[in-house]
Formats: sequence, structure tokens, C-alpha cells
Amino acid sequence: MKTENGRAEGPKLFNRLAVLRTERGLSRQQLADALGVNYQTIGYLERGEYNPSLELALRIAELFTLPVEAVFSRTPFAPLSQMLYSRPEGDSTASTADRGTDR
Amino acid sequence: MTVQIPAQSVRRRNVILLALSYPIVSWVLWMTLREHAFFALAHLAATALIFWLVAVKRVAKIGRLIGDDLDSRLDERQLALRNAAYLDAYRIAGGIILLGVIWIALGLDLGIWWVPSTYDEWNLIFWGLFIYLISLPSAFLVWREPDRIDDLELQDA
Repeated sequence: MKTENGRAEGPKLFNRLAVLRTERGLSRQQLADALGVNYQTIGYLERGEYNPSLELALRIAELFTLPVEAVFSRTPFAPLSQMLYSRPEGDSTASTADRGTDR
Repeated sequence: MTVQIPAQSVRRRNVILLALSYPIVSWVLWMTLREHAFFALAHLAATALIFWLVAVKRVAKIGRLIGDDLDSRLDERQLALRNAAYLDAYRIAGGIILLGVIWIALGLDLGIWWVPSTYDEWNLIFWGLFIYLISLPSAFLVWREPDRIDDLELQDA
């Protein structure tokens, strides 16, 4: 079975693309231009309606200078605010790799 | 550089016009064969409509997310979308053509049902196949893809 995007239906990938894009003050068009894809593809990615190839996922991670697992995950991310404020007091070394997300 | 896809409504309109042009042309051609001068002119007009849709509006090219020569301008999602439409169109068209061949083969062998035999009958079959085969991937794409107005409205969000 295929999705409306033609890719074989597989496990849903969660991502922080919308949050990262907004945080950087980028429009979908600007992000699309930086990645060399159509701006509609950014919309599909943000809504989780399209799973990117490994190559595109790595390019996105490189663009935001983050590890790929900080941008994409197979499980839902916890909200960033929750991650930020639920760290134990005095723990300035809390791992940013703790699963968190916005979707 | 990636390709901006024409609005969904425009693409749907072009596919519908092309699909409707065939029965219109067939009917007009049938009337033309009955030597009505008006229908001979109408036949020319309908043929011009098909030419306009195929050559100028490029239903079969832009409509199915650009031909093969522009692969490098499509991103991976657009390529996957187009390839899926090609595959589905191939399956449908292959099935129809196979059924047609079986129909004609059995019809010729058994002689118990109609099979095309005259030039005009084959001519209509040829144009029917031509029109529907080139527009089938377009039809799959324009009705499978949801309208994404929010992508346009929120692209600066």
C-alpha cells in the first residue's frame, strides 16, 4: 500500500522541523531553497505526511547543525519546554539527546 | 531548482477537458462521416482543442509532474509521487489493453461479437488509446494529491 505521496507506507517518523524552522526565522520557501526541495515538500515533512530519505534527513540535520536524532525520531518527541524545565535542578549537563518533542 | 506544480484545480480542469474531448471528437467524427459540413468544422475545432491541451497546456507533461528529461528538477517526494502515478497508470492501461486484445482475438476466432474492422473504427480506437494513455498518470496525480492550500498560505509561517 502506498501513501498519497507514492512512498510505501511505513512507520511514521516524527520530527521537529516546524519548531526548528520557526526558531531560525525561516519561511518554508527559504528552508526549501536551502535544502534544494520544493516548499510543498517541507509542508509534507512538517506534517509528518512524508518520510524523507536518509540523505535528505542528514542534509536537514546538517543544515540545523544538529544530530539527526535531534530532528527525527521514531517515537513522538516531548515538548521542548517540558524537556527544558523538567531537568533536575543544578543539572547543567542534562543531555540534549533526551527524547523530547514537539509533535 | 525544483518545479512549482500548477494549481490542482487547473490540472484537474485540463485532465477533464482532455478526457471529454475524446467522446466529443468521436461523436463529431461520426456525424462528419454522415457528410454534415457543420460537423466537419466541429471536428477540426475539437481536434484543435486536443492539440491545445496536449501540446500547449502539456497535460501529459506538466500534469504528471514533468517528463523524464526534467528529473533533476524534481525533489525526491515529487519523483516518488510521479513514479507511483506512472506505475498505477501502467497497471490500468496494461490491463485494459490486454482485455482489448483478448476481446479482439476471441471475437475474430468465434465471430460472435463485434470487433473493429474498418479504418474509421481503428482510427477511433487509436485516438482513444492515445488520449487516455498519455493523460492517465496526470489523472492519478491530480486526484490522489490533496489540495494543499495551507502550504501556499503558510509558507511564510
